[in-house]
Amino acid sequence: MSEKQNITRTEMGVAVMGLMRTGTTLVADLLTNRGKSLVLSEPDLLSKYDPTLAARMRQLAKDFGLPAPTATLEAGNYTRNIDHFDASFMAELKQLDFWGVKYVNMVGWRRLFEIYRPRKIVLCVRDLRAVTVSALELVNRMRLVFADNKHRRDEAWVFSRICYSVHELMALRTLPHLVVRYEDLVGNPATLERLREHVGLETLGTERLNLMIERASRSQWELTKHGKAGEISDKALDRFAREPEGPIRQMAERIWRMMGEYNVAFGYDVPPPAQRIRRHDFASRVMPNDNPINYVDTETWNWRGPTQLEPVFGRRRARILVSRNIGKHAKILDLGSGSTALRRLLPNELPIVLSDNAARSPEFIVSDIYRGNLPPAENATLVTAIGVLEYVDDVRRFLKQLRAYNLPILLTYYPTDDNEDIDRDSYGWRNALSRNELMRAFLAAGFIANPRWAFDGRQSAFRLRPKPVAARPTRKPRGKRIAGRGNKPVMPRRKILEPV
Amino acid sequence: MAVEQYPMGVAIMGMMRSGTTLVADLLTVRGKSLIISEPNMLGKWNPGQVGRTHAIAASFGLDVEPPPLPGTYERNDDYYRAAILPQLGRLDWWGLKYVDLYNLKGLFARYPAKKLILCTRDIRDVALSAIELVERMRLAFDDRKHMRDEAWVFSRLAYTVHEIMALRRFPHMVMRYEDLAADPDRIREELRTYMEMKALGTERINLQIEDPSRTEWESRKHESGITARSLGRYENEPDGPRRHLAERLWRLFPEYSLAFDYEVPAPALRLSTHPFRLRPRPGDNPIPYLPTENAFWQGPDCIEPTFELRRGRRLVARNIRPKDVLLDLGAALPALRFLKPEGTGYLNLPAAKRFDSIAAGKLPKPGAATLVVALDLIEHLPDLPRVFAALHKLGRPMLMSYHASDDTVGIDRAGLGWINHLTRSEILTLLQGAGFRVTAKWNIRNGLSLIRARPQDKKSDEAATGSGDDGGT
Repeated sequence: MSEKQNITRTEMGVAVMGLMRTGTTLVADLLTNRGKSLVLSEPDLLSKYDPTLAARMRQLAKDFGLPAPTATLEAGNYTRNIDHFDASFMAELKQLDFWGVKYVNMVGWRRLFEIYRPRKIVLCVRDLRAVTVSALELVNRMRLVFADNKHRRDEAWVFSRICYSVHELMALRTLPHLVVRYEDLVGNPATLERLREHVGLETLGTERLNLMIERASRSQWELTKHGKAGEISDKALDRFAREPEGPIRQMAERIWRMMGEYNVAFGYDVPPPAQRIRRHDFASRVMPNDNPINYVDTETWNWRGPTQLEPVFGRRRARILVSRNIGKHAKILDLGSGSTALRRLLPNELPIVLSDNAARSPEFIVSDIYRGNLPPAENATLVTAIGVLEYVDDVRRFLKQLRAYNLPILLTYYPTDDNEDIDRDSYGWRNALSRNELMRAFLAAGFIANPRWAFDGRQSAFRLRPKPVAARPTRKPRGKRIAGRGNKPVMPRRKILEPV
Repeated sequence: MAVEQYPMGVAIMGMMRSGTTLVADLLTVRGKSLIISEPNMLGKWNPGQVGRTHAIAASFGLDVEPPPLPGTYERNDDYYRAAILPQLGRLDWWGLKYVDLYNLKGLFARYPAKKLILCTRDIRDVALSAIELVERMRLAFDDRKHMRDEAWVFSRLAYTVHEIMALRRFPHMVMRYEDLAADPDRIREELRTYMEMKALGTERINLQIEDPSRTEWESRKHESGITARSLGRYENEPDGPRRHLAERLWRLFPEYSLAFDYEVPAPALRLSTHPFRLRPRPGDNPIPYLPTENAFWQGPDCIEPTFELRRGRRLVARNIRPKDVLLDLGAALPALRFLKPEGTGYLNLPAAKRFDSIAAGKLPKPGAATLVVALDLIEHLPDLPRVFAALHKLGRPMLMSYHASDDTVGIDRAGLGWINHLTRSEILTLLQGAGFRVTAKWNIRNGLSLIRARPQDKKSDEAATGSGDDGGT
């Protein structure tokens, strides 16, 4: 570690901490002023040494104008990122008025603050509903993939990561800080002035150095949206208002309904009492620093989440089951995709067309699925609808539309028989069908349904096959029917969904 | 004697006027369990308090010695430990009920509670009910060091909210007054289950030892059962200083409303920078308890209308003449009555409290009054010329408080519930135009000014134009 290498650390000038999609990178850049101050975005100082990250930090330092470090980037030289950071930048950073870090990944901040005590803390916040919708879009646009197959970025990850971060932010509130609300940052020039005063800068930075070292899939998107010159725009303010009804809007609302303390603490609307989610494993605790969510769990691709029914985790489980029941040569149309997670679960990069009622990334086909307007099948051989049917207004119409594909369907649903203890309205579900009613509806729509009931205790999965349209029966000659010992008709063998 | 011999079965802690006495009685069952209401265990020897505790114990049927003569014990607890606790130890369990949440750390250190019940209620209803209680019980203290005025209600409730929010960190059951009143059977059953009792109590032992002025009032209102007659107090409260006080507390503590499932004010209404606001860490109570009991306490370091009213009353008390009889307009509580000098009078007219009538310029007949007082009132009135004209018709001199806009630069006046924003000069002009001769002491503290207005004939009034700041009050 650095102490052993005789490197003297300095106090950190500022720590910018916040939820993802709350303008933390923008604040980091505003506080980065050539020759005076540098705020490094997500240096992940306490994690194992990561040469890619180290290279990004060097790029940032170089763009800023710091001299190139002499030490190599080879993995064997450092144990943790902080070792590289200290060896490469500390001497130069000490010459500046101040330096700082910006984190949305808040695991380990307590230890980091013990090593580098921040003189100032800036907490970046935003309406949780907008954060959620925006975070999901970011995940989809950046096509985040992890080679280890242990990490995935799906709705459940977004949900649990935001909840985890909310708890950490509520703990950070116990330290002296300045709150920067995204809504004020982009809409009220006085906020910039307060930020400048808080850190003691003469002027705020004007370059987007931290944004430029991000992956192109993100930086280009952000620059295209807000302007190439890096100006601050309010184009993302109505993020939640633009989100149509459906599971993603419900997911955003659920986080907002659960985290009332965050809303009060940072001046946001609070839902009326009847809408608040109280008894939930992820809900705010009385004492700060009592985070009920384990960070490592949030990063585990198949974590089952809270003990309560949480649809995003149900969707995760359903995707895993469905992905194991897709043939090797299938071409898939995924309805109501939400995220690109199903693609990552499929073997051999099977072709998949993602669709939803909003453009979650450029590759999504947009269609008002929940109102029964389904996208064209193109050349798909299989249609999947995971965590979709509950949000459909007119089930009969929806199933009729599905039948029109004339393709096999893999679909999931929470029948009322297996979920008697829950308030379906609270989840924003638009229908309530029992197992029996569901099977009748499938049959009426022209499907032969093979169910796997309550595969996770609550949720059922169905393989629907279009029932062949019977040809007009040929009139048989009238005659006496003689009972006899013939062979019994052989029923076709049903393919049951394989268990996980 | 080891205190651990008699561990406390339950502690009932709550806001005043949130049904704590009722819950205490529901958990009191002869021969099995006794909840003692407000025994002030750790307080200095107080014959009144120990006498009440003795009365509860005796009424319950315990064979307890009466309190000894003053000087025998230093603290209430000494008597309880000698006479009451050994008797309580023979019961299945015993408990305490407190709305006065002072020194809870010390209390629980000495008497750890096995169970905890938190009694809550919409803070707006609590505030209105507390004002009514103070008024009905005519709470006043002869020593003049204590005062039950609006500032006391405000600061005591604020203090208690902090303590209740801190108590939430212990395992507990929440008892919302609204639920108890609206669905008593269900809530009683939940309470019985939580306390693992066979049956709840049916007597009002704790209520009966209260002051008769309260007992009779409560009994009349709710008869022998649990009723919903006190629900929706805030909704039914007309506009005026009581409603403003209730609303301000509600706006100050959105965390309380959220924690106990009440409506939360919209972001723009919340008082997020007030010195009394809740802190990120529960238990970090910014309000010291003892000053809340001090009639001279100046309150938070900001304009807080209830404390402005308290200051205004003290100023008025110092500026009235012997034999003056006061007509106190718009006051929620008659605290001025207990501040005025000996030999002066105070008219407690119900009509003088009707804010809506005052705002419409319909004032009560002054009768024997020789001085009209209007404190924390003028800022809330929409049509000042009309009210000043009506005041002039009363033909009595007037002492009024006002926060001129030039003395409150940078203050969010609308956030304080004030609806007019006149400068010193403008208010003087208005008063003079209504026929008053005016003298004023400007910006005494926090922008508070005291204005003396004497009615004059219109003609002579014109000649008197030019009167103004002379510090004459």
